[in-house]
Amino acid sequence: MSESLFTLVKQSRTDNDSLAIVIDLFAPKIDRSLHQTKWQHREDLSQELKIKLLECIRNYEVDNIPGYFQMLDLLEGQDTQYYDQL
Amino acid sequence: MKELFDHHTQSVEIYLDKLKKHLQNPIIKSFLEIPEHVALLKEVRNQPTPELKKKLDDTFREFYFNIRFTTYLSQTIYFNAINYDKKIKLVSERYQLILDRPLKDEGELTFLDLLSSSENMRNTDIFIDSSTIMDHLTSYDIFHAIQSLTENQQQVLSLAYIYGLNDSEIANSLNKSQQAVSKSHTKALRKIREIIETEQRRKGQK
Repeated sequence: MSESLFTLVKQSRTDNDSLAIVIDLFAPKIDRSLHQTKWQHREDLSQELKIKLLECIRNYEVDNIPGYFQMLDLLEGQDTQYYDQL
Repeated sequence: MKELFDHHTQSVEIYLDKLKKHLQNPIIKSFLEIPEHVALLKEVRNQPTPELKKKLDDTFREFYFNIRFTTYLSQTIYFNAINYDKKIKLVSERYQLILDRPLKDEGELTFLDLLSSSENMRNTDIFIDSSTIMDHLTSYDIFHAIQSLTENQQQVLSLAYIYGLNDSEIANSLNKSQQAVSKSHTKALRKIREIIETEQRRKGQK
């Protein structure tokens, strides 16, 4: 896979192929979460989860991710107590 | 952390020192654990051009995105899978197909008892086990009409409408030709219709 996850998700809004690649990337995680379900329902659940992912990926606000300097500003504004606790 | 930056210029170290409290942030920390990112940071410190700043910004954004997005989707999958299981459990509890399990937690009444109870029987349709069409009728008019048919015609109607056979199957079981059966079938239906129609006209005149 040549493209990064970042670009793929960005493209997913308009490009179904990218969307399919992103969903495929998470297929192992989906398979893993099927273990606790009875085998009769596994295929259904797998499909449900993929539909859910589809919504999540399409609606994800890629541009809301802060850049490096924005992040520092955010941290500056935050209560530093949080770090003292760590 | 510190030894990672030893080979970098003084300026970066001073900068990192200023950043110290933010370095405890897991995201920033893991971002700067990758040597390429530190190198980029160093470049930015040496010549803070807008292009380089933007590059740093974008690199960080992508790095942070990978973590945030993966976590988000993983949790979505995890919680939705759990909810799905709960839903299935709920449905299977509500719509059980087990006959001999008690209906409530206490008590001995089972679903089987409920089905076989006399109350339930009253609601179900009575199944008539009879091979003559006369026993299956609920309309008096049709009953009287069929009464006036020949025995042969009644037999044909019984086979056709109780057992659902077609004319050639009836012919086979009665050892007659299909044409003959077909003829008496149509004749019977026509006669029933005539009788019902005269009956209704008679009622209408009253």
